[in-house]
Amino acid sequence: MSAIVYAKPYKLRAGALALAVHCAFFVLLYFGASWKAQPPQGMVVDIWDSLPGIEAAPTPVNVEPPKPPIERPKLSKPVPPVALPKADIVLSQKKRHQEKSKPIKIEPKRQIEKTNVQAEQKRQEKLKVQAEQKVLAEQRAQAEQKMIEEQKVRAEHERARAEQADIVAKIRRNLKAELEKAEPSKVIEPVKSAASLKADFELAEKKRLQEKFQEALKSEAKRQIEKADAQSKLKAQAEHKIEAEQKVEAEQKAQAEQKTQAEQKALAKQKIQAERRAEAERRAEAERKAEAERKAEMEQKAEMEQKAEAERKIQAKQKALAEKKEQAEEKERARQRAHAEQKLLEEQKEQAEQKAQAEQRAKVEQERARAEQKAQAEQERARAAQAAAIGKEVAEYKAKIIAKIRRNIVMLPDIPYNARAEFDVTLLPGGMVLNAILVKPSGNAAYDSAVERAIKKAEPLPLPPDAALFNNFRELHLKFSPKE
Amino acid sequence: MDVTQNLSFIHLIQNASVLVQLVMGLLLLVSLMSWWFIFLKMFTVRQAVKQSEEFEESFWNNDDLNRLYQNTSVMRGDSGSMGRIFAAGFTEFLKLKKKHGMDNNAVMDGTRRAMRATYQREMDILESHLAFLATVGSVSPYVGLFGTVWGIMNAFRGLANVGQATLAHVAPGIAEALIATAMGLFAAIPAVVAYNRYSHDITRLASRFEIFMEEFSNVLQRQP
Repeated sequence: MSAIVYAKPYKLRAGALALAVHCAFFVLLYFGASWKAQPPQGMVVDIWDSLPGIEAAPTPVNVEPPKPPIERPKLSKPVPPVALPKADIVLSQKKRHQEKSKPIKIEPKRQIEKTNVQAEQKRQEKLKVQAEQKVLAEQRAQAEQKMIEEQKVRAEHERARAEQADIVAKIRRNLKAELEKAEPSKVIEPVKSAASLKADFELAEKKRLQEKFQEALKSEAKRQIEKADAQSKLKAQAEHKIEAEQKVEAEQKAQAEQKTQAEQKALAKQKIQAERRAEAERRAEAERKAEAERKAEMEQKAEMEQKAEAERKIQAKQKALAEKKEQAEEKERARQRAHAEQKLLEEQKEQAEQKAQAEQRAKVEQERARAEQKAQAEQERARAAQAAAIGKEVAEYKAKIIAKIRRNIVMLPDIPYNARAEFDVTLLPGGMVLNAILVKPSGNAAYDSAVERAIKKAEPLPLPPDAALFNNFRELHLKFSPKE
Repeated sequence: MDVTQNLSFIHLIQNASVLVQLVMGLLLLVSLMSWWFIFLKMFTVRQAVKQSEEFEESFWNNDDLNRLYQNTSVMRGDSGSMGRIFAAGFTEFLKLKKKHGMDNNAVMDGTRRAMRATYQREMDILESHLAFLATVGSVSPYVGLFGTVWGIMNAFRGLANVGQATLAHVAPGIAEALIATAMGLFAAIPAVVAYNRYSHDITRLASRFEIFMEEFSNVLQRQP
């Protein structure tokens, strides 16, 4: 029963653990194997998605080129060449007018000729060129793009070309030069035209060139004049500057001299003052030194005294500490002694207790032994009394048994008188004979068998009514002889 | 009967037929109980082994049987099975010794009988619930299989009424049914493992007790 009792505290723990195992199992099932039968949604990937990006990329590159033309005007802003571009524009406009008016005049002459087409082509080309020139001129006018240098260069070019034209007197080159002037990037090769056209063009070109040349000369003269003015102005300014600088230098020199003088004076004063100061300082230092020495002496004395005091204090402290330590050690010793004594006392007590226990145990055992001895003695006495009583009864019944068996022996005639047979008889409760064994034969087989038969015949053998006595009759040793 | 039907664990259990649900409940209960016994046995067997070792050590290191007897009879519950066997044997021995005229053999017989009785009682306590574990281990797979078979039968019966049979008609039913088998196996496997383990442990303990009884008898016979 106690085993069930001691198993109880484990029941709750076991139950909790079992629940925990199941919870873990279900959680695992729920999260690990939630069998959703939803088909996986296929990712729709458009392979061509990336290409537009690549196509779109070049566009910013295309956007960039227009920037430079805007940047250029910014660079040329500070230059104010207003007059010359205008002259250029006037030139171009004049050209246009001439070119427009002349082909119209010529047209009636050439209407039949093959060159008509060529003239028309030329005219178209020229119109194109003019339109481009217009655009360029407008751009120039609006943004004030051209730098002075470029204009100069152009003017020089124009001059050179005009001279070349005069010298060479060929129209093609002039035309080429014109075209190059108009737009150097586009080189439009002049188409060979008819002689009349050439003559016309020569005239027109000459006029134009002359006009251009004259205007260029004029502008050159103007520029030169402007330049001279500017140079004169610059010179004047430079002279002014130099004068101003000279003035400034003179003033600076004067100031410097004044300064040096003042400094020399100041230095002299300072020297005197310094000497005075030095003397004063020397005195002061001497006094200070004396004071310092005195102070130092005083301090040394004070220090000595302080040190002495400090040493005294330290000694006193050390003494106090030493005393404390000694006291503490003594205390500890006392404690240890006390502990040791207590331990000794405890041990003694324990020993005493153990002894007392041992004695008690010994006493108890002795008492037990005595009691047992007494009990044994009493039992023996009682048993002896009983045995005496039993012995009588047993003897009586044994005699009865033997008598009963003897009565049943069938005596035979020639049995020796001194024959003696001994039997071991085992009895069962109730007087029945379990077996009878011949222990010592009599020497006469007939007598032995007769006795054996008599034992069997005498069943049930007489037994005492008290069943407790049966043990005495369980195994009997019986002796028989014909004498008795 | 959509293919996109929700086949989550709880959903499957809810959709199962009543009989299959009953089977599942039974299996859950059985599994809980078997796990409870597994842990209980684990603790008790471990404790019994530990106590036996301790008692044997104190028995062989102690010359005075009387003192050992007093100690074990004082701590009664904590001395373990072997301690209780010893206490029972020694008590009987002392009682018989007090009766004079008893044959030494008779005394030893009585002592041995008393020890054997206590040993049987202890073994009974140690072996309790082991039979339950064995039963769970052998039967619960069949119970789970029964639930599965029933569920699959239902699933196919439903299939008979449909003109065009597809796997989608049967699959949820079979999945439901198979949960029962899974639960049966979940209950059975640990139970079988635990049964084998503990029966082995307890057999070893029993042989240890018997050896101790024989040795103790010898010690007692030598006593004056």
